Parts: sequence; C-alpha cells; structure tokens
Amino acid sequence: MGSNILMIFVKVVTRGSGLKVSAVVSINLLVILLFRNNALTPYLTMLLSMVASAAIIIIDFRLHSLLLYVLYVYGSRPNTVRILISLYSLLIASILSLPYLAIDLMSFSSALTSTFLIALSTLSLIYKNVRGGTSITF
Amino acid sequence: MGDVVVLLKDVWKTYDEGNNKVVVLKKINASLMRGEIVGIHGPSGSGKTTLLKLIAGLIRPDRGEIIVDGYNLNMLDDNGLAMIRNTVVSYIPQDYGVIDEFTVFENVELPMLIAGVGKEERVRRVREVLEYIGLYNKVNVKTKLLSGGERQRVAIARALVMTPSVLLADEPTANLDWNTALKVIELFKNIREDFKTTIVIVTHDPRLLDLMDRSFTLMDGYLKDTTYKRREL
Repeated sequence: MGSNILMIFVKVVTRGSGLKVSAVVSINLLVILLFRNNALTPYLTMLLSMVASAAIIIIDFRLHSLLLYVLYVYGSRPNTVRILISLYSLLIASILSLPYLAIDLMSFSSALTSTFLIALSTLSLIYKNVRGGTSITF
Repeated sequence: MGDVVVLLKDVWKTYDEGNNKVVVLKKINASLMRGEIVGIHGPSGSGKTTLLKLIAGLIRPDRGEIIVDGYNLNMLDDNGLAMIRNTVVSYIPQDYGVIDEFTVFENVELPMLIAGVGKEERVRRVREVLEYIGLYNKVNVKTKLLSGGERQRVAIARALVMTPSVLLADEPTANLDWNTALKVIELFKNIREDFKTTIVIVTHDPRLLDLMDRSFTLMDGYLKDTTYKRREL
C-alpha cells in the first residue's frame, strides 16, 4: 500500500472522526481521574470506548463507505482497500482504548485483558458490516 | 473519430436475488469509437449502471468480452483492473462521489495519489484541469460548501485529471436543472474536442439523447442502437 493512500486515509480519519475520538478519550480520562479507586472503573471505560466506537462508526458510516468506494473506483487495489478497513478498525479501537490500556498496564489482570479482547472482536464484527455496506464486490 | 475504443462482445450479466437469478444484460454487442459521445437511455433498473460498471472494470461479466483501449478486461487480474480504472477509464458515480471533508484540490488529486504521482506534478495537473473546468478560484474550498453544479464539475475534473481514454458518467444531470444540465453536456463536448475522450453518458432523460453523437436504448436486458430512429423523428 502506497504512502499516498495512507495519507488520504489519515486525512479522512482525522477530519471525520478526530474530534469525536478526542472527546471520548477525554471523557474516559476524566472518569479514570474521578473514580480511580473504584474497581469497576476499567470496565466502565472499556464500555464507554466500545459504545463510542460503535457510535462513531454509525455517524461516519457514509464518509467511510464513500472513501473506500472512491478509492476503489479510481484504481486502488482490492487488497489495499481491505487493509485500509482493518487498519481503520485497529486505529479507532486503539485510540479509544488508550485510557483503558493505561490502567491495564498499571495493574495487569487476565479479566481486564479478556474484556479488552472481547471488545476488539466486537469492533471487528461491526467493521465487517461497514465493508458490506460499501457495495464493493471483491 | 476512427478507432474502436470500447468493444462489447456478447456480454451477459446476471445477479442473484435470493433464490432467483436475474439476467440484467443479455448478449450485449456494441463498439464505441474514439472521441464520440454516446448516450444510453432506459427505464430504471434496466441495467444502465451495470453496463457502465462492466466497462469501468468495477465488476466482471458472466459471459462475453469487454475490450477497452486495447485491453481485454477478461484477461486482467484484480490489480490489472485497478490499473485500468486509474489510467484508462474514469467512472463518475451518480451521486458524484465527492468527499465533503476534502477541498476541491484534495478531491481532484485523489487518482494521482493512487497512481503515486509526485507532489509538483499533482499541483500542476490539478491547476490545469481546474482552470479548464473553470473552478480554479475554488481550489481550496471544501466541497461541502459548493453548489450541485460545482460538485458535479469537481467530479468531472477528478475523472479527467488522469486523461483517460474513456469517461463514463452515470446520470450526470439527474440532480441538475435543465440549463445546468445543458452546460454539463457542453462541457463534455469540449472535453471530447480537446482530449479526444470517448464519453458514455447514462441518462433517464430522452431529451439529452438528441445532444449525443449516438444513442442506445437498454430494454429488457437488450441494447439497441437507436441513433437513426431519433434522427428520423
């Protein structure tokens, strides 16, 4: 995948979802600061991240579908479009999970890691639907 | 005019709709010459967009051959078709496919970014094509702030920036008033004259067919050349 296509992708993600992602991360950080001694806080931030991810995908659905479609129409290879979809999923999920990961690093537990993996699986399922909605036949 | 740029030989296309198979295109045969403007007319759901997508290499036929500017699309793998879409054929979707979060410049440079064209060359070519289209004064404006006609011209500029041999426009005038529609057709005629591009326009408006070099009608899956019929009227 060329660096130019990556540039288009980063631009769209930043302009389309950047503000929303920043807001969610800020809220999560605030929750951590306010309730740092509560054992449920990591789960709460994880839940917030998941709900926010789903909301961002729904809100920006048209933009993401359009970008993928336009890239495909104007000559991107199908594999490039596939990689972009996965990369976008990973990027949003990672950024939204930053507050949670900070807690996880400080107090590692298998329960937290399992929750995190379940959250990521859920996100990839949602993205599968996004891909289905782009009307691209690979 | 002279050489054949698009050749369709016995092309069939079927879609699965649940348990049923719907034959959208049946034994389509046509040859389009370099530098001609061709109109394709037909009722909604008659397969006009499918035909454009087949020529654009966006989908593959079930049977038959499609040859575009010397490339037999059946012989190309996915990467080969991607190259065709980037350099040989440009497809303008019905809703223009303009990205609202991008400026006019960023939208138009997109095919060149995919092709890996360097920055200086991109700036030069975007400037050229926007001056040609008459939109250079809006180069740094986000496309969501433009009118319908301007967005249409951004889509045409983006399709033109790689100087393709074939330009496919899906209902380019559907959302425009008659006067703006005439201006768009005039622009296509200028492009034909200046770049020798073959232009295929799908339309539901039969009045536009009179402005084309040739016209086809798609009905019940069959494509019929109706140029002479219209001229006799």
